[in-house]
This record gives sequence, C-alpha cells and structure tokens, in this order.
Amino acid sequence: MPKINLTRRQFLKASGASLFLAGLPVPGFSKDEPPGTISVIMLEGGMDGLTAVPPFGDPNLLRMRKNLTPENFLKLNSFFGLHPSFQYFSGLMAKNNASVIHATNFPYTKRSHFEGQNLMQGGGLQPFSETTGWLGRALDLAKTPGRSMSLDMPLLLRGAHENDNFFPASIRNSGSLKTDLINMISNAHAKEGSLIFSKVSKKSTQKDSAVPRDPASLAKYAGKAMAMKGGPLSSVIKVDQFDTHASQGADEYGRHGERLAIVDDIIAGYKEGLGDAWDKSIILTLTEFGRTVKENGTWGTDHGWGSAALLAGGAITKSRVISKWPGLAERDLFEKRDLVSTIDYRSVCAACIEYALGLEHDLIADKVFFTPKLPRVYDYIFS
Amino acid sequence: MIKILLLLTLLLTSSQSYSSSCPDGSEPIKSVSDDGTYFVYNCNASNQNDSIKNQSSHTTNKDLGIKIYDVTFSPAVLDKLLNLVVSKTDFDFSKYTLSNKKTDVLCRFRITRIVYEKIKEGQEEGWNIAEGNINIRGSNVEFGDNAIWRMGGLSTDPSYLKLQVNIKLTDDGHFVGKMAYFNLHTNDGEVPINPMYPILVKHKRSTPINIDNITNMSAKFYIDVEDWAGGLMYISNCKEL
Repeated sequence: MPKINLTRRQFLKASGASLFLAGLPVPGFSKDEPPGTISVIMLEGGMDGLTAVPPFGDPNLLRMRKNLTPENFLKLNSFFGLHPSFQYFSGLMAKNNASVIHATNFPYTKRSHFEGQNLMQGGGLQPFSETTGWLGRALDLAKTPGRSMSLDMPLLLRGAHENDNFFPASIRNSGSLKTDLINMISNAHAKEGSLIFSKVSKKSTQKDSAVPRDPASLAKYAGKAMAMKGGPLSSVIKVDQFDTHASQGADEYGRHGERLAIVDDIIAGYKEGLGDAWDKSIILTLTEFGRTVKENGTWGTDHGWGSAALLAGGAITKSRVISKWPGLAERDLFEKRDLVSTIDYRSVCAACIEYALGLEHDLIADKVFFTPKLPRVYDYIFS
Repeated sequence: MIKILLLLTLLLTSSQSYSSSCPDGSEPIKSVSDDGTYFVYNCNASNQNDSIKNQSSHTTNKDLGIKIYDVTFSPAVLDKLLNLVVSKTDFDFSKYTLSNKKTDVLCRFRITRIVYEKIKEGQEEGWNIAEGNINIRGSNVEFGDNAIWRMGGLSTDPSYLKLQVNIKLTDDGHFVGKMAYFNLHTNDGEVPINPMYPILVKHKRSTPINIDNITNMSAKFYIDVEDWAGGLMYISNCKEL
C-alpha cells in the first residue's frame, strides 16, 4: 500500500470544498441572455475579516489583536492591508479586477452557525423563514432555472421553478449501462412521469470529464462550464473550517491563513477556467458572520458580526476598499465585542445580481430580499 | 377525575399556544433556537426579532456614508504585482549555468517509478509511467508530440507534458527545473488526482548527458517526488536534427 505523503497545506488545499453550478439558460424560456455570470464562494464557519483585510490604520487593531494580524500584509492604501495568503487576489487588485467590502455582513447578530448560514443562503428576514435561496430566486426572476452540480441542492440556489442536479463523475462502465428497462418505464408513464424517467436514463449514461475534487480544480471546471455558450450563469463553491476558536494564527501558515489561501486558489481557478468570459464575471464571498475583535484565551476568536468580503472579476474595473468604517474602539463595537456591519451585505449581493443577471435593483430588493428599501450600492462597486 | 381534568386543561392550553395566530392575524414563523435544539415561534419578524436589524428602513442611497478607499500601490509594488505569475512550474534558473550548445537534438525518454519503501536505495518498477520523444534545443528541454503519461486519470491530458514543463539543460548535462508529474495511477471511476510538481535538481545519483558526445550516450536522472517513491528518467537514442 503506497503511502501518500501530503504536507498539511497540500492536504488542506485538496479538501473541504463542494461545487454547485446553476442557471442554465433555457431556449424559449429565457427572454434574453443575461449580461454576465455570478459565482459565490461560501466561507463556512465565520471568516475573520479583520485578519483577511487588516485595517492597520485603526489604532486599536494591534492593541486588540496583535497575535492575529499578519506582519507581512500588503498595504492597499493608508488604512487597509491584504493578508499574504491572497497572492493571486493581490495581482487582481493591481489589475483593477478586485475589490473588498469591509465592515459588512447580513443583518444577523445572534452568532449561531445554523441560523447565520441559513440566512446568508436564504436571504430571508428571519432564520429558516425561506425554503428558497436568494440566488435561486434571482435566477428564477431572470428566467434561468437552477441546475445544481452536486449531490444535493444548496439552499442558496433553490428557486421556485425547475431544479435539476448533476455532479461530474466518471463512473466505471457508465457508458455501457443498459437503460432499456428505464426507457420502458418512461414510455409507460404519462407526460410528467415520463419526463422524470427519461432524465434518469439520460443521467445514468451521462459522461463528464474527470475533475479532481480540490477547490481550485472545481473552480476551474465551473469557470470552463460557465464560459461555454449556453452554460450555467452561476456557480457556488463552499469552503468550510473558518471557525477558528483556537490557534487561529496570523500569517499564511496559520490555520486561518491556510483557509484564505484556498479562497485565493479558487479565485485563480475561476480566472483560468473562465478565460475570456472573465470579462463579464463577478465572484463574491459570503460568510455567516465575522469574528470577535479581541483575541480569546486560546489564541483564537469567537463568533462575531461584521466581516470583510472579497469581490473579483472582469466586472470590476477599479479596485477599491469600500467601507463605512465603524472603528475598533470598545465603544464602537457591537455589544462591546464585534465589528459592526455598517454595509448590509444583501445590498452587495443585490448589486452583483443586478450586474450579472440584468435585473432592476428595486425588483431584486423586493422579490429576492423582501426589503423594498434595501440600499443600492451598485455604483460604489461597478462604476 | 381531578387529575384527568387537569391534564385536559394543560393539553388545551399548550396546544392553543402553538396553533393560535399572531395578534395581527398572521401565522407565526417557525425558527430554530440559538443552540439548534428547539423550535421558536415568532410573530412579525420586523417587530419581534431583534436578530435582524433592518438597516434599510433608516437609510437612503444618498446618505449611506460609505467611503471608497482607493487602492494605491507604489510603482515598484505595482510592477511586482502586475508581473506576478502564480504558476506551479515557476523556477529560478539563475543559480545554474545553462548549456549554450547550439545543437538541436531529438532523444527518446522514458520514466519509471522507483519505490523506497523496502530498500533505502529504491526498487525500480518494471514498467514505464511516461515515455516518448524529448527535444533539447540549446538549454531548452521540451517533450515531443508523442510523449505520454501512462498513469490514467488526468495524466492522459497531453497538455501537462506540453504546457506544464519548465526544464532546462545545464552546461554539465543535468536537467533542472519543474514539471507536472504523476506519481499515482488513477483507474476508471476513481476520483482523478492532480499532478505533483517536483523540482528536478542535480541529483548525486544521476548520470548526466554527455553534451560533447550527445548522439552516443545514455543518461539517467533521479527525480525526488515523494518519500515513498520517486522517478527515474532515462534519455537515450539521441539524434542531431
């Protein structure tokens, strides 16, 4: 039995990600081809925005979290820096193809993973109030029903209309499967039943290219699929293990830094896979909450509220850090412990939908996020 | 009898608390408690759930107070970032003296796997994991069109031997650089494995190319890949073009 010798970094990079693709334009159903593509990287566990994009210009940063702030961050301007794990992302910032939103998140403050993840995907007004996701509802509005490339359909992509799922796999002898029985059953059923069985028959014999399961390869695969004419308009990649209560680390070799490097790899994978389609793409990160400003007793951080979000893609033509900085002094924190989210992240999601799917902001605010007065931040990001 | 009446009263009271509507006549909304262990029923999210802070009700687009912090790099940093190539085959050849021979040579190559599990010096396996032609033009080393990996999965993609190879010939006949390398075989139906990117160095056990007599020699290069197994690249049958 051969030993597989992986470094911890290699192992982490090869694990803990799932890919979902959605939004295949349906001929005769889609009105017009939407203007762009939208990809979401879900960071589960609560990404620490203060480590990812350290606001070194705030005098309280190093006082509160000296052991969590990388020393070798890249200065983006006189106030914000970028974590050294974001090598590829820093190149995109130099090329004016990437931005950061800071002190942002969904308007949820109760710090529960279950509720927070449900809200960041469902986009409802209350945890577990929605059975569909904000991206799924947006794809419905754009008349592009979802197709999830996964064994399950994440809430984020669930819409009201037709959903389908498929995961890329190369199953031994799948090309020679006998589908006669399924076809017979299909023929024996009425229209709707027949449709289901014909799908089963088609999927049983469907072949796809071999795709490694590491996050960067999945992103490259997703990018390639989205770049094809008539390909999916949306994809979602999930990365977990951001919940660093202990030994969080500061630099690229720390626990949190390694997870950030995976995000960087994913963005690089998307860029490579998308090719020319990069020019009309927008990629955004989601996380259920940020982390406490102050380091805890086990060299980590606990569940917080505000965080930072990364945006990348050809849709961005001027790199910026966009923020309404609330400050890190104790009096400025939410419940004296968390970075306040001063930008409702639903507004950022709405702007990305507006760009990629060509929907009106008011429609998105009302029908996707059920908040008619949701502020429009499109111009801050895309102008 | 008293106990039965008490039980009935309790049942009616508790069922009413779940089945009744909210004061405004709407249905209560079910959610999960903070610790995920029980369901919570709330009326009218906007009024009763303080976990949702509807910032938009107080904000208009004109008074968002958002500030744009432009990203500004110094010319030196910007130049470095713009030329940043995050490539798996990046290699710094500056510490080597590369061959300056002008000859254009076509050789055969084959790679075998050498396993170090039982014998320290390694045990060579009896089959080629990659084979084909290899071109040496000055110090540049490129695999020919017929070069293939025989490790299944992703290795069957010829682009790995074309685009993901960065090897050069040194003046003393060694191959140095980086290349995509498949150390494990992938069968049909197995999840494919990405290649590794070992560094080719001047290995003590290698037999370098005799640059002065390149058409009449054979060379052998040891490649360190993993602890348990590495590779041996043989070069032979070279012809000047």
